[in-house]
Amino acid sequence: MTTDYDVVSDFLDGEPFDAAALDQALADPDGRRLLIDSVVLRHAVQADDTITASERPAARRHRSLLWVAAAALVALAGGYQLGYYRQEGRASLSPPSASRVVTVDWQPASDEGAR
Amino acid sequence: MTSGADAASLFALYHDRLVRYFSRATGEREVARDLTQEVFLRVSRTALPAAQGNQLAGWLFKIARNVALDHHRQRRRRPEADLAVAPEQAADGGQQMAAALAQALAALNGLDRDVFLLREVSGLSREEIAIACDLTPDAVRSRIHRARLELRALLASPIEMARRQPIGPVRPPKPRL
Repeated sequence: MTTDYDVVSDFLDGEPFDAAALDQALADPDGRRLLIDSVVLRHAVQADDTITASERPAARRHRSLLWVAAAALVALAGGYQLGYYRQEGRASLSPPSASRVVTVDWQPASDEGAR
Repeated sequence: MTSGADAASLFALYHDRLVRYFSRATGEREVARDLTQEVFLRVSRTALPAAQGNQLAGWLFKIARNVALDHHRQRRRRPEADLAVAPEQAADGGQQMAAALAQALAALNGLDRDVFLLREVSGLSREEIAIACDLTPDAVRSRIHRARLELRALLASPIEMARRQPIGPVRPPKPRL
């Protein structure tokens, strides 16, 4: 005779079970406890509380934050360098100095010719 | 190759059960969704077995076990810190049980763990588990019971605390047809 009470698992799993063996198991406090513990275990394993990546321990969250900070610094430094080089390039696109000057002697027109 | 209609039916029937299985097997919900997609990708590349019912679920979860094993091998090649929250770091009783359960499941023999998860989380019958794990139904019965006893021993304290709370709802096993 086994005292492992595997008939309790048969009953829990909806499988055919020996009613007399189950009766004997449940007459024993250990057998009753096994049934309740197995139900508690089933409830725990079916609970929708699987650890997700967003629930990492604080130590790993801290390391993640360090990586984010490092990436932000690199992005800022890179952005600064890019802006600096663009400014240098913009300076080279300024118009060339004049090579010829044309002087116009402009006089205001008289009223007779206004119409 | 599996037809689109067959794949869609399989998806509707088994997607959530696969996600739950992978969630418990890996401890990571995002990974579970990825691995579930991998299962359906592999299904789309193969032909459905001719037999239906128990054999179909067993066949599908055999693919799932292979996907989980491949994932586990990849993780071993790239050792990463355990993402599970240690029980002592858990914020509340529920999280403590979840963390302790994850550790206890990891301590089980791999096949015992798979058999237990396929029964309790994915709701497979013993015949279906036997097909998925290449075991006899009697061997499945023994392994499920052994896994329950081992987990009960490993989780004595959290179970004792959980017994003081209302329990439920609990998904009953599928009715035998």
